[in-house]
Amino acid sequence: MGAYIDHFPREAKLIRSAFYTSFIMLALGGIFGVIQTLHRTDVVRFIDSADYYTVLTAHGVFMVIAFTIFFLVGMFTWAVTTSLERPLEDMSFSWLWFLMMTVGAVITGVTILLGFVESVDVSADVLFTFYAPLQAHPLFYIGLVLFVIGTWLAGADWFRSWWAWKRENPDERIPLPTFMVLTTMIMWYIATLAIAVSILAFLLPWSLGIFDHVNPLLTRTLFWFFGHPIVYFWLMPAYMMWYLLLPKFAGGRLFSDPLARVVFILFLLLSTPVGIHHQYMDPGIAEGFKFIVMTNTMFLLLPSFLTAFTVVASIEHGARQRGGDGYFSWLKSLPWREPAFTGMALAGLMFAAGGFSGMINAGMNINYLVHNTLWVPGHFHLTVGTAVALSFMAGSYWLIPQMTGRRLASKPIALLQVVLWFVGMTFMANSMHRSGLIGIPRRTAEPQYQGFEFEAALGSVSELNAQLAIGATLLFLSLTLFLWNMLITAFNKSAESPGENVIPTPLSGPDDSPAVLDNMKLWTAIAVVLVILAYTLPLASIVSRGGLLGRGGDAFPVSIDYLALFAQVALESAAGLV
Amino acid sequence: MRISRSGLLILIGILIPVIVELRTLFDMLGIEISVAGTLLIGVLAIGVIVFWATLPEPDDSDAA
Amino acid sequence: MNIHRYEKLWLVAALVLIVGFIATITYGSVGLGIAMIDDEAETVNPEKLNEHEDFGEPGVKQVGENEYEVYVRAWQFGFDPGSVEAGLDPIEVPANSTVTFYITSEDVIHSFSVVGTNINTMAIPGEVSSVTVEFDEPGEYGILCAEYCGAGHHTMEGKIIVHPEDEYAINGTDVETGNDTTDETEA
Repeated sequence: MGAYIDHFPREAKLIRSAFYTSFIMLALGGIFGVIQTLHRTDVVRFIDSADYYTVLTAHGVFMVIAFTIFFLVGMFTWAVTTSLERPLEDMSFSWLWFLMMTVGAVITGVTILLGFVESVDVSADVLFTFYAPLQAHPLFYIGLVLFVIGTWLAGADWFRSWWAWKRENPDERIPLPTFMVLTTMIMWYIATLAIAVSILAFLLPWSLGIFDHVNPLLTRTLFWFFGHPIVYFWLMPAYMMWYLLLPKFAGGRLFSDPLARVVFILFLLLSTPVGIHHQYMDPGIAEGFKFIVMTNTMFLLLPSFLTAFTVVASIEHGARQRGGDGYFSWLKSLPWREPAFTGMALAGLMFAAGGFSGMINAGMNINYLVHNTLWVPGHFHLTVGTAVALSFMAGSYWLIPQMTGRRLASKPIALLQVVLWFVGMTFMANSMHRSGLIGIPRRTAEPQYQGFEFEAALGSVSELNAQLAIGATLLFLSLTLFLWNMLITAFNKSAESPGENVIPTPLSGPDDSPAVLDNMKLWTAIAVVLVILAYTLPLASIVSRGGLLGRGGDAFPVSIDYLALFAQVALESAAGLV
Repeated sequence: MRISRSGLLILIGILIPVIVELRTLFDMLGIEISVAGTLLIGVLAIGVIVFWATLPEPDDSDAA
Repeated sequence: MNIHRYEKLWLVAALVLIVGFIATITYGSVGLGIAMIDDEAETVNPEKLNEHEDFGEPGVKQVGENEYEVYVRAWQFGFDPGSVEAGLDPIEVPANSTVTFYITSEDVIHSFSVVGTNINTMAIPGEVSSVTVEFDEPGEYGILCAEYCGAGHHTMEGKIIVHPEDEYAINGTDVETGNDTTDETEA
């Protein structure tokens, strides 16, 4: 036995590359995050308010597309190889998908950042949701397509490993970590189908000038078809850490393997047919569809409730193994000194708070109060911004030494970092939720208006802004500490054994779970049927009302005939070569 | 020390959301606490915890 | 599959909570009558709004004793009527009235969000959002666009003035004439 890198040196290199890429994206996203907070709260404004939206697009895309998903592919590769105890089938294929994702991310990222350069007529100030008729440069969409295809191939790689393993172990249950990867990827395939259609059939040809219009409600609905499951795509690697690593760090074992499987299946089934809950305030979608989606969304709370139970029970079991006792005093026996443990525990705690604000969002008529206010970013900074991001950072304190064979540079600083993130997010999320309740909008450079003022229910608006700015500053500081620690670790000369790469077997093992849980074909079929049920009628109605390509309305910014432009550039460069 | 230094750090970390949300909670009950007041409560609460943490161990304690 | 007794209890409690949430939302819809924005209104052609029967001359229209309809066009970056800053009229209605807003967009996706109320809807080109509300008290409300709509998004705002009932008659005629004159302001 030994560290991951001792068993799988080639895979460790790939996973390292994925993690380091995700950290670079995190650094960029963090810089734009802090600039944006200081700007909108009017603390420091050194950019033009028109450029705010470039900053906001960059923050969103770098954080929730690039950072999260690059981390995910590293994490999933670790989970599959570790639990199947076999290397990837073909490393050159694996590098191919990684390269494709990287190229895609760079193309999209550069296209966004060119929005700052006025002399170049390329921009993509369309935010992470890219709602038409706001239009990005075609390269923005092309980069996204490459990135998503990269993730499809990555999924194929993990399925390939599983199929190869199954041939050699026909009678064995799918190991839990691989099970988690496979169910999550099936969800991702279903979800990304919609965004592929949206981009390839509508947005990309439209941005190239082939169509004059698109149907804004159709592309928006297709976005949320993909846009809700993507939040679970971010979340599943964090859940995986809470199920697989957190009990281990706590000194125990996972409480129940069968229930973990049930939870991941519930996410596979329910995370896609709920996307319309982001469109409660949209015209053109009947109230009945919104109601169905609302009930589906509420049932989606179930797997998270089950997770809360299993994770806390597993941690308590671990604490008791370490000599803890009493109703609550076992909490003292947990390894709080370990940043990986503490970070994940704090992330889980904040996720509970985020879950509650999510229930408000899900309530369709309560949603009138909070829709598109700062409440919503408050909610998802607790979920993706903490439950996911903090778990990833905490997990890195264990995973990076596993992948490099090097000792973590500083444990005390790592511990300070995770606590600082928790504290910073407390200020930020509290301020955002409260601001949202008094109607302050999200996604705006200057939430200060000429004709009216917001009335704070408690304190004042400037107080809320100050709190938001303090939160963002603390988070940025925490992020800097994290990146510094990772940088030093990567070049750490001290090669100390980072401990065994072992996932302890659960208390209630796979033998306790019905074999039907492992029937991937069955669950895929049910998931597809649910999606068809939830989306056929709304999509048909949207198309019959607004037409497949819409009925007018110009692209913004005014679209340029890019095909002609490309042809011209190609000719000129060809002439240059000659 | 009655508690490890990392334990103290985490205790203070968890106390901060409690103090921040306490202000919101009191406002709902009709009691308004100013920012300065909240800060004062926070500093006091953290001070008490730090004071308690640095007290010498009681003799019958078996903590490490 | 054996499930721990506590976990079964927890599962039941979670399900009760979920059903409880659904029940409260259903009560809000059925009991309190909070309707969702839906697909009732006819679609429009965003390029031909000027020719549209109602959106061609957006503004306040009295349709019953205490009932009004308000047609609003959202554009980059304002509301017509509503955007006082852009030289347009505010939306003026009397207190104790039932007002139905019909909102659409000329260009990109906007929102029509009235601060401090639960009037909050998207304005999507081609689609029309209809929202019926009751204004009980006189007062002024700010309107803002809460959906990012381009570089000037943060300047997009407007105003609703709710007049006391007895003072509205005069203002009402003002609104009518006001509409005729502001018709072309945005062009």
